[in-house]
Amino acid sequence: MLRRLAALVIRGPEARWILNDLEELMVRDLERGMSVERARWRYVRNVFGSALTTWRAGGREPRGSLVSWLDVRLGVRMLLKYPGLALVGVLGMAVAIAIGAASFSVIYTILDPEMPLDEGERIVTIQNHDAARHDQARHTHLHDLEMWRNLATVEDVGAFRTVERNLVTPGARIESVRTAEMTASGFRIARVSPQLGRYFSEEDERAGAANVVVIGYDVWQNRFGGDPAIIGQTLQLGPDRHTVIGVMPRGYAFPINNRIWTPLRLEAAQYAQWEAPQLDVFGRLAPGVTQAEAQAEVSTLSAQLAAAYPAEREHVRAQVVPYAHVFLDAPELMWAFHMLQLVVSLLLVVIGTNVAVLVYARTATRTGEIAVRTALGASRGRVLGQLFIEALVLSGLAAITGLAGAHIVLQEINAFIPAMEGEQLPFWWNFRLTPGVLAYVAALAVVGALIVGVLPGLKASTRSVLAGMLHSGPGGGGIRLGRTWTVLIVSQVAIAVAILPVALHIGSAWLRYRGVEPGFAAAEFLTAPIYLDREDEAGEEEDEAFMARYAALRSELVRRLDADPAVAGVLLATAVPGGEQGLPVEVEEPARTTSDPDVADAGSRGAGVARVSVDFFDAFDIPILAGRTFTAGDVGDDARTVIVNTSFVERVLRGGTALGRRIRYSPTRLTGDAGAEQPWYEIVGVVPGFPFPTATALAAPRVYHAVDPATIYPVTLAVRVRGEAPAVFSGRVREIALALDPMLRPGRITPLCETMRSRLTPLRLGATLLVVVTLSTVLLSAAGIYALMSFTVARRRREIGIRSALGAQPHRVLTGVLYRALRQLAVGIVIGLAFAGIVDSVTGGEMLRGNALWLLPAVGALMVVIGGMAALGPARRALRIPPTEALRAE
Amino acid sequence: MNTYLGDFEQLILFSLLHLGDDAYGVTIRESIEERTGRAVSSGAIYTTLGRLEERGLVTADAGQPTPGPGRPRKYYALTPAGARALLEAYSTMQAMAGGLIPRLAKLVER
Repeated sequence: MLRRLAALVIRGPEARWILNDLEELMVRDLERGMSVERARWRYVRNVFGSALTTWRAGGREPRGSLVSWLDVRLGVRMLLKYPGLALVGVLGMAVAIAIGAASFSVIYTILDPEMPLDEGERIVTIQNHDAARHDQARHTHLHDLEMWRNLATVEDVGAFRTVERNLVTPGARIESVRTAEMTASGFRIARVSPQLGRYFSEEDERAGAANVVVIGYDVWQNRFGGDPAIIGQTLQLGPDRHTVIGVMPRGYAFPINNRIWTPLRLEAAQYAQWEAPQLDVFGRLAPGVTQAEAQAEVSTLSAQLAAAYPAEREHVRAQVVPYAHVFLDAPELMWAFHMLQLVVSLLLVVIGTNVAVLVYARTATRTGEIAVRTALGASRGRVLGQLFIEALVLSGLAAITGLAGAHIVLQEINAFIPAMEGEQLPFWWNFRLTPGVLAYVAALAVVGALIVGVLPGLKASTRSVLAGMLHSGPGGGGIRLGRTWTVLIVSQVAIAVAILPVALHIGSAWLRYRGVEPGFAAAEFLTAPIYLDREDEAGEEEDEAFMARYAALRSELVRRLDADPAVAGVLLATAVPGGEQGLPVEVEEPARTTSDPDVADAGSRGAGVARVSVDFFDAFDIPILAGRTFTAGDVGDDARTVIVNTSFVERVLRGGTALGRRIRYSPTRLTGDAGAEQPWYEIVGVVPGFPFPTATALAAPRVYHAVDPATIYPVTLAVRVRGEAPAVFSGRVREIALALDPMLRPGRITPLCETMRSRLTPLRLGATLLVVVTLSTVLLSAAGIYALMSFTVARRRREIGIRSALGAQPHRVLTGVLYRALRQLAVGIVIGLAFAGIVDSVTGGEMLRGNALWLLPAVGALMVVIGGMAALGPARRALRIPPTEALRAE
Repeated sequence: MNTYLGDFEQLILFSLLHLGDDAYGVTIRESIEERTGRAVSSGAIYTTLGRLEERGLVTADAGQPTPGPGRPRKYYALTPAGARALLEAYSTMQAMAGGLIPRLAKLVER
C-alpha cells in the first residue's frame, strides 16, 4: 500500500530503483530495532525527499512532460502576487482538510486499530458468540480457558479480568485504580521486558503464593518517586498488601489501559462447570499460522463443547479475533464509516468549488497569457498541467495548515478522553497523524488542486476562448460571464446569508456559556460514586446481604464525613448533578381528556432523571420557584411525586402552570411495549436550572424523584467543603472510606465545577467547529462576491471609459454599475433570509431562539455592506481611467 | 568533453571507489551519510548517478542477480573516464588548497 502511494509521487526513469532502495532502508531500520511506527515515518520522509529531488531534476528538462518544477515556482509567485486570494483559499481549504484529517484519524483508529506491540497484529482474542442471543458475549469461561491453553495454533494463551481497588502507598494519596488480574503469559505475549525486576511466573498464579504486583512506569514515578530500590517494597490493594516484583517501561498498558497488574489466581477446579467467573482471553498466533487456521481449530473444539453440553453451549461458538479489534469488531459497520468519511471529504469539494470560483476570476484575466503560450506550441495538457501545479501549491499549503489544525484537534480529543473515564478505553486508541492520514490528506490536496486549478483551466483554455482572445486583442473577447455567474453570485450570497445567523448565534451563545456562573457554590462541592468491591465478582455474597452491608458502611461514611469540621454537608444522589441519565417523558394533556382521558402528548421528549435525597435542594441552595420541596412522604416505591426544573416546564410542558400536571416515562421506549403500564407522576415543585442556570442551553430538562439512599447502588456523594480546597479534601474522603473498610472505594472524586467544565468540552469543540466552518464559508462567499464583482466591473472598464469620455456624469456611471451588482446581491439576500427564516420556524425557533427578528436583518445589512464594498472598489477604479486610455484600446 | 564535477558528484564517485562491487543506492547513501554526516535523499543519488552515466563517468548494471532475499538492485561502477575526472577534480582542489589549510584554520578560529 505504502509502496503504491510512493510510486505515485516518485516518477522518472530511476523510480523503480529508488523505491526498491527505500524499501530496503526500511527493512534495515527495522532490523536495527527501530519501531515499526518510526521506520514508517522515515520511509514517508524519504519518499517525499526523493520525490522532491526527482521532480526538481525533471524540471530542468521539461520537454514532453506535462508538469515541471518551474510550475511550482510559478505557483508560489502567484500566491505572493494575489495574497488575498491565497489567504482565503488556503484558510478555506485548510478548514475542510483539518476536519477531514481529524475525522479520518478518529474513524480509522477505532475501526482498523493497530496494536503498537511487536507483531501486534498476531495477538488475538478468543470470544464466545451466542448465536441464540444475537449478542457478542466477549467473555470466556474459566473452563474454556483451560481448553484454549492446549491449542496448537495459538501460543501463550492467557486471560485477564479487571477489578477496581483502593491503592494505598506510603506517603501518597489513596486512589481508586483499575487493576488487571492477568496470567503471566500476558507479559510474554506483549514481548516487552520489565524495566526493573521481573514479571509474573506461573508460580505466582498458584493459590497460596505470596501476593505480588507489577507496576507501570507512571505508578513508579508518581507514587514512589522513581525509587530505584522499588523492588521488594509493598503497596496495598484493597485489603491486601502486595510486594512489588517489577516495573514495566513507560507506555506499557496491556491488556486494556492498565498500570497495575496482579497474578490471576483462579482455579477451574474450585468452580462448578458454568459458574466460574468470566474472563477475557488472549493469545498469539503460532509462527506461520494464519487467523483462519486458528479459527478452524477453535471451531472444532467449540463444536465438541456444544455437543457435550447442549443445554448451555448449543448456540455458543468461539471466534478468533485480532486483539486490537476486541473493542469493536464490526466489519458490517465499515461501509457506514467509509460513507461518513466520504461525506466529510465532500466538504472539501464544496469549499474547493468556492475557491475554484475565485481562481476562475484570476484565470480569466490570464487568458491572454494562455493564448500566447498555446500559440507558441504548448499543448492544452501542458497548460492545464501548469494550472494544476499552481493550484497544488495552494492546496498543499492548505494541507499543511489543515494538518496542523487536525493535530491540535486530535490532541484536544486525546486530552479529553482521560477526563471521561479514559482508563476504560484501550491504550492503542491514540488519535494522531499516521502515515495513512498523511496519504489521505495528500489525496485531498490533489483533489482540491484538480477542482481549483483544472476546472477553471478547462473553461479558460477552450479553443473558442483562446481564438477570441487572439483575434480581439487585449481587453476584449476572452471569457464571458453569462448567466452561470449571475447564478453563482446569487447562490454565494444566499448560502452566506442562510448560515451566518446560526454561526453568529452559536458563537455568541458560546461566549455566554464560558462566563456562566453555576448559580450555586459549585467550587465547594466534591462528588464521588461510592463502591463496595467484592472479593469475587461471581458473587458468593447474596445481593440482600451485600446491600445491607453497603448501606451500613455508607451511613457510617456519611456520619464520619459530617463530623469533619471542614464538611458543611453531605448529599446523596444517583448521579453527579448534570450527568443524569436521559429518559423519554410523556405529558398528560388535560385539554384532550374529554375525548380520551389517558392520551399523552404524542411526541415524547427526553429529560434527565435524577433520584436525590430529600434535602438535596436545601443543601445546594436551590430555591423552590413554585410548589414545595420533597418531604419524607415523597420517598418510597409508591411515591408518585416529582419536582421538575424550569427547562422542563419550558421545553417539555411548553410553558404554563406545571404544578399538578402529570408525566410518565414513555412505555414504548422503556419496555418496547406500548401497552405496558407506566405510573403517572404529579409535579409538586419547580426548581431553576441546575447545575447550569436556566438561561443557557445546557440547562437540560430534569425530573427529580425523592429516594431513600439505602436503596441505591452505587450512591453518588456530594460533599460540601468549607474553608478547604475540595481537591485537597478528596484525600480525606478516601482515608475515611479506607478506615471503614478497605473494599469501600470512592470512585472518581471530582470537584463539581470540574465536572461541569468537562461537560462543556464537547459542546465547546462542536461550537468551535461549526463557527469555524461557517465563518470560512462566509469568508469564501464574501471573497467570491468581491472577485466576481471586480471581474464584472473590470470587463466593463472600456464601456465605463467610453461613457466617461462621452461626458456621462461619474455618479450616473457608478449607479449603473452598482445597480446590477446590488440587484444580484438583493436576490441572494432575499433567498438566504427566506431559507434561514423557514429553517428557524421549522425547528420551532430552536435555531435562533427568538433572535431572528434582529439577527436576520443584521445579517442582510452586513451582506449589503460587503457586496457594496466589493462592487464599489472596482467601479471607482474604472472611473479613474482617463477616457483617452480607454478609447485607445479600441 | 566537460569533465567538471560538482560537490555531490565527487562525493558519489568517491563512495563508488570505497564500495567497490557493492555500490548501489542504499550503500552509497549510507556511505555518504556515515562519512560526511550529511543527509542525502535516494532521489538525489539516482538523479546524479543518471547524469554521470550519461556523461560516461559511471556504468550501471541492473542485470546482476541480487544476493539474498529482497528486490533487485542496480549496481554502479566508476569508468576510467570517471576515475580521471575525479582525480582531476581532486588534484585541482589540492593544488588550490596547497599550504592554505593552516591559514584557513586560523581564520576560522578568529
